Amino acid sequence: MFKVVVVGVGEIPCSPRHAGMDFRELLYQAAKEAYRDAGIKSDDVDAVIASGLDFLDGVSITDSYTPDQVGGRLKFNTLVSGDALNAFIHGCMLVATGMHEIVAITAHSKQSDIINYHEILINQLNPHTIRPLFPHPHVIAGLDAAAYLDRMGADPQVLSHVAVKNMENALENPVAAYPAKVGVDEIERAEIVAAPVKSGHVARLCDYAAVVVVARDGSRRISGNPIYVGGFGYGVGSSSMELSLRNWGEAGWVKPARRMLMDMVGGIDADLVEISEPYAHTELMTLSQLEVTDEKPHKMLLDGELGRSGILPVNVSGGCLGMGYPPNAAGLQRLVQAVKLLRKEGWETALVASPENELADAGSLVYLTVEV
Amino acid sequence: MRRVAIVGAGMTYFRSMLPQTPAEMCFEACRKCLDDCGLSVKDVDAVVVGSAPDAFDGYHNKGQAVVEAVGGLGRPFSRIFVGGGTGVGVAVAGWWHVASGVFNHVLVVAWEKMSSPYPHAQTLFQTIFDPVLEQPLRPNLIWIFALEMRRYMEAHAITKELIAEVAVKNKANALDHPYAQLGAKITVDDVLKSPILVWPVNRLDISPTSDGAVALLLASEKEARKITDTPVWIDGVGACLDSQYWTNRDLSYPYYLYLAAQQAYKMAGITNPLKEIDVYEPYDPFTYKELHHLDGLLGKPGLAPKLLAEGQLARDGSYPTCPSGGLLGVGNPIAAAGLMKVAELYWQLSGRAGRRQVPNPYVGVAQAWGDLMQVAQVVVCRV
Repeated sequence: MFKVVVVGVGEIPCSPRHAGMDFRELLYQAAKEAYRDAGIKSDDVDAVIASGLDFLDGVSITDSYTPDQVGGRLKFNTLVSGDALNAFIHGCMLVATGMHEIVAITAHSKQSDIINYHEILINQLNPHTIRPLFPHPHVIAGLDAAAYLDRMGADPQVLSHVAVKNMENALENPVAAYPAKVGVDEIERAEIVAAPVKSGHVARLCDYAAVVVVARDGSRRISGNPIYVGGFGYGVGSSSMELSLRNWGEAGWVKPARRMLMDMVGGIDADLVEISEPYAHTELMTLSQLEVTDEKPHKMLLDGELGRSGILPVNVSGGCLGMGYPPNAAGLQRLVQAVKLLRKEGWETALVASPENELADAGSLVYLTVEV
Repeated sequence: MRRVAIVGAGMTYFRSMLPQTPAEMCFEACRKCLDDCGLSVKDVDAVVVGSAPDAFDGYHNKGQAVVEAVGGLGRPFSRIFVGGGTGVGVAVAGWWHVASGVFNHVLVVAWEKMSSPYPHAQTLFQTIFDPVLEQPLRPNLIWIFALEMRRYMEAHAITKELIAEVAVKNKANALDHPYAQLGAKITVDDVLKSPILVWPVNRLDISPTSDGAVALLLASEKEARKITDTPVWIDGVGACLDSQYWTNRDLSYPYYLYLAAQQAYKMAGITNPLKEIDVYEPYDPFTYKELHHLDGLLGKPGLAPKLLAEGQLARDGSYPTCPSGGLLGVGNPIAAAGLMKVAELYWQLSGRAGRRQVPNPYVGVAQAWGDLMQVAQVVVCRV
């Protein structure tokens, strides 16, 4: 198995709306930056793994719209649906086969073109038993949050602490859409969207695109500052279309994903963690099952240990609460932030976690290291 | 690079309106596949599924709708799609799961449920076109394939009568396929006299809309030899996607397919496909597409029609093509149809194709195609 390295990352700033650009133009900008970062030209890319979903792009077989703007025309291409971190893992597997040396992974969100995002989301649920109830995704998130807090014996106010931490972290991230210095009281005063979830606990959507270049370690066609892909894992927890089968308050997908990752790396010693968190509780719920700490996440949070200078910095980039949540692209957004942090801030290892979306009990993990 | 084998296959009937849900179809295909190789779902390390537009099933992120049925709960599960190329594309994806060294047993599943869209799947196909430049024209897939067919006929001076022989051959071959939807004894005259939908495309030039599912089990070399004495090796894979702007290219030759095939041949060590390949399963949603694709697989524009005219594409010919019956005969549940072609290679090369058996095949190639006439996925198998 060939070792895989991340050699280039590119993204466009998160924004509530990139007016006048469609997702192809967003991807073009991200690809240009990624290839420049990797020290390559688009001609050097052997294969492209895209991430996308038809309903979010408003077209069917959205993969067909990928190659032109990222230099993928007449090359090996495929599309992995679901969160982009899973596409990244497939890109790594493709490089590991030895068939291709340099692979680009793409993800995009043009949510500002979508007028009924939450309605689209519930089309993931059973059309006979659940959809007729027309549950808003926030309601399902509220049930999850309540179950998690109950299981942990945590006060609902911890959700506001997550939001405050992440939005404040985002102040130092130039591509974040929603950085803010806010107090817990301010978040607590926000309207309830589905108890215990308040509006400040919901990551606001953003337009975004990212391209990541992975390569075979030792490839002579690349230059720059590689980050090693130490391992990865992905999995499904419970049914994502039947609420009655869900293990409320648990990110069930983490268990099989973590098992796979552990089989590859033996042990995880993460200096920092980046978690896609469409809701504040998603960060805590995911963290609790990653088993990277013995302490309950909410206690660490309240003790400041999940902060930038804490024992286990989580979402130093600002997370989705601070940067914005790009549907389907959040996993690659987190991975790009982890790579940038490893390069600039002196940390040596990072764990990236991303659920497939707000409703699915599925997701992916990637472990990055500065050294082999 | 680890060698990867197909060790089991299973499929449902291909029908115009199967009563099963997508999950039920996938479950049936998986169960048959696992029974075929004597394994249970507990032996599966990971599952990768393929299915084309989400709109067919009416689900957002529709892979999640079949997770339980394919044994995906509690294990790695992904969905890939590349339009009509998905069926072979998902086999290519299954290949990299194993060839990378990450997994040893991977269940590969493809399905399509085309009977759900109302009033017809063609309505949903309008949503694949560029929403700004093309959708306002209310295009229909048959229109653009008619353009491509016309261009192909013109480039190589091919007659409608000759192209019709593809339908005659494939529907007859499908009579021997136990899961086929449209096996039939028809004549060239039947094809030519069937209703013209968009000239030069007649009704019998087109494969049907279908429901169906197919599953394969892929294994690493070490594991494959424990499971079966007749593994069929995936020795070459290729994929290629051309520009989304289909109007900008010469429709007479699928250059993107040629490139994908060359990737697969290079990996498999094939230098002269015409001499080294014993059985061909090119994607044949339309009659002309079998020839068009065979040209690309052979790297020789205009050769396939000549081989057809000489009778060499028959099951007992020198270059048996679509011995399964293809999409024209077995049916066209899009993603499942592509994976059916890989399953056919498995059955042919392991000597288990029954009445469809081609004499002593050693190497086979399967291919699928799709998106806006721009994607090709290729698999080369060998015993």
